[in-house]
Amino acid sequence: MHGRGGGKNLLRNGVAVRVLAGLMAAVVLLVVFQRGGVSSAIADTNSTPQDAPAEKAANSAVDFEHELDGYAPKKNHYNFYLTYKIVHPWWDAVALGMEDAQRQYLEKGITVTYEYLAPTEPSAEDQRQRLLQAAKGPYDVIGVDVADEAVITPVIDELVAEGKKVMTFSSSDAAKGCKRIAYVGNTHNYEDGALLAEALCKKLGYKGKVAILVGTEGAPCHEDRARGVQDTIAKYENMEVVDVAYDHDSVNHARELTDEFLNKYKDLAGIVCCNMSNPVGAARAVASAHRNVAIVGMDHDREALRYLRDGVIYCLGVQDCYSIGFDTIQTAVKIADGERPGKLYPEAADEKTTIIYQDDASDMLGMLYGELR
Amino acid sequence: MRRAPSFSTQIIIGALLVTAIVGITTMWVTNGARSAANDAANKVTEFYLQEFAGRRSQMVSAAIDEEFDQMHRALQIIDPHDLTSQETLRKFLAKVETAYGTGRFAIVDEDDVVYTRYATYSGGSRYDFLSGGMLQRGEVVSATDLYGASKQVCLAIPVSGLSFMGKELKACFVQVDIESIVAGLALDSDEGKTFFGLYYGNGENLTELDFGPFVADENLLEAMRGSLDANTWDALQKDFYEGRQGGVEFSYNGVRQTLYYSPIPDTNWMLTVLVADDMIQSQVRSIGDEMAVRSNIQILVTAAALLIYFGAIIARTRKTSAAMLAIERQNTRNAGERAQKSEQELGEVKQIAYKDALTGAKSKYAYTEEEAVIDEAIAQGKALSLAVVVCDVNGLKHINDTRGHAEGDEYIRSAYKLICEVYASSPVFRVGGDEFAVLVRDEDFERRNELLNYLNQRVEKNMEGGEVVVAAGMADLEPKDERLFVAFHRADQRMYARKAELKEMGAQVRE
Repeated sequence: MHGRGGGKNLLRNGVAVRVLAGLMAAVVLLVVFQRGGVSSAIADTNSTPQDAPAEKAANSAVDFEHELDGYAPKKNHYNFYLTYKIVHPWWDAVALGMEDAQRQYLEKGITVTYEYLAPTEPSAEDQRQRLLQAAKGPYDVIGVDVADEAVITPVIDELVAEGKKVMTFSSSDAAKGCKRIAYVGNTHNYEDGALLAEALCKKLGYKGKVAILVGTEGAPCHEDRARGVQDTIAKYENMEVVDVAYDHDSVNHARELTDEFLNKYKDLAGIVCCNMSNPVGAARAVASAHRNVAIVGMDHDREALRYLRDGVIYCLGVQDCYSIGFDTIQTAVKIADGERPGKLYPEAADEKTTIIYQDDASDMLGMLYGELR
Repeated sequence: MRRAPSFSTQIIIGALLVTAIVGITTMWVTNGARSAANDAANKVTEFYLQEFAGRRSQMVSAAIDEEFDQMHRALQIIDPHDLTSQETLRKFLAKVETAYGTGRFAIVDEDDVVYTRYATYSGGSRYDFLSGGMLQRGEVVSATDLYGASKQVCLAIPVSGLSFMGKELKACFVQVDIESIVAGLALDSDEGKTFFGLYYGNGENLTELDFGPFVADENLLEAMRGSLDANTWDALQKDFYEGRQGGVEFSYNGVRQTLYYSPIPDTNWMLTVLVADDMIQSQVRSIGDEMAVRSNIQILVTAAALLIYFGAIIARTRKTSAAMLAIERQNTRNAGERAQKSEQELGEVKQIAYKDALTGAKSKYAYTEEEAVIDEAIAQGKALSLAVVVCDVNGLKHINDTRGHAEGDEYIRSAYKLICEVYASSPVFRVGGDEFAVLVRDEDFERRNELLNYLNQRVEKNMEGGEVVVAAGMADLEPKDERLFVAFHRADQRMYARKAELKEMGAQVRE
């Protein structure tokens, strides 16, 4: 042993310990009362950022405690095919919710197997091919996180017409009127975009130039958010959207695009990021350029959360991926059994998004990644 | 004057002093023993826990090796039939998991698609070991920091020569719950006071388990930074970074802690053992307290024994003293009695000496003593009213010779009786066989001439009746007389003169 360290234990005296404990408790209570609770800075999609205290703490942004509902599956084995836009940690988080549901079914004696696959680059055509291939497989339900609603919606309708049971899930639903049976995921992408833009506008004092980063062209979730952003900023006459660019869900590309923004618009005041890779790339560029540009963005990327903690990113909209995954499997089982949306499950499950700020970043890093508080 | 403490008090003070000395020395020895025990316990604990951490580290390493061995065995038993469809592959994977009791066992194809018993999924963004050419180095140990901090250890080995559904298989891996490994290290008997943890070299926790006072999502090194001085913290960080075994003592939240750490071979992980010093010290303290209790009992027993012993001495001494006092008193009483008896006997002797046995008159010894007293008074110049009458019994020899000594004795007694009748207020001494002396004083002295005449008349009358005849001569003690003897001598001469008169008157006298 090195014999290092060694402050003396000053609290061995029982009386001193009790007195100090009492003082500490009083101080903690005082601080809590003064702050109005530790979770005051968290706001979800139904609240105004930083204006109203959130009802739950940062760790309520994601619900890891799920139990299967009381539905009794009609079969002992289910096999699903699920495809999504791109290999990315966001969908790995969704996968964990799926695995939890699968385990819980297994405990009930019901085996759920599935394929959960995506391309390494976003591609509507790749997705179309996967769906067509899956239609030939022994799957009870085919699920898709729509990469491009214009391309994929017809394919879904085609498969449904063939008698396949198709659902959409996670980030993007198909186009309106699609015959898919149900959607489990974020149903308020437009609102999420609007909330992020509103937060940015408020921070900037409702004036200044803003650039928008989007993910994949045609991806409904990304596009919906971008529309929400544009519509919100348009409400304020002293604010202006100076540019819009797509990073194709690539962090590196997002950085390149941001560098271009910074060079092109010397008076750029803010950037709104509509997917998970956008804020990481944007933050890298802004931090490197030492520019005072406010960034708001989406999702729970670890690096993005660190930038949030460090004040480079202003706020992030965190989706409950775990619940999306869990509910996707649970809904797929009911669909496989021929159940229709209604009492057993909604036609479109509304999974929540929580806007978090700098004060919440450490808690979120700890909760999601076990990282230093 | 200040009174000296009693014997009993001295004994008690002595006993208390001895007890205090025994107590102090015992406590000194006890404290020394306790300190030595504390040091020894700390050294033994340090040695033990260092070894302990090292062995636990080896256990983790052995568990990892065992997992790798199982994967190699699984790959050896895979059959081409197992790779004909998704279903057959899943059956094979299930068989492996069941047979070897592993966690998630998976195979990965060239597109980073992961095949498990229940799911097939894209793993490129989920597993670090699938990127960066890590598998080219052979066996890989990595941990996945999954969303929600459900960390898992992934042990992967590269695979070659196998294909599935037209794609080459590149790896297989098992996914093991780190917490089950750490939980397996725990001790059952330490009441939760010894904690185990697994940390990366950068201090991040591999598990979701709290590590003593450090919550699960704290970076251990960062959390300890405030508890250590800069140099110590730097050394600790370097040990972690470079994978060196060691230990450090620190105080966290007011509690003394000792951290031991040992690297796990072939990983960048550090196995950590945390022991609250108060646990060690409480164990040592309990031993010390037990020693102290025994010492205190020893002190009390010693004190009690000493007090009893000295009490017994006091009681015995008191008893002996009382007995001796009684004896002394008895001796004193006896001595008094003896003295009284002696005095009485002396008195009796004196009485005998003072008194003439034949007549009851005062003896010649009594006269001598009285003469000494009077001579002393004369020497002191005192004026004494005193006269001496010397009486001689006439015809005693004749009576002894003719009528026997008994008659002679009776004759003497008659003479004495006669003299006493005349001199009722004066002492009469038998100063010789047939001589008496009378110290005439007080009332008799006032009438001394009258009384002498009366005596002479009685004698002369006795001569007629044949009774006792006494010749008497008297002389006053005169101021010039330096001693009584001078007056006695004059009276004696006058007695002889009277004796001559009586002879002429026909009295029987001794020739």
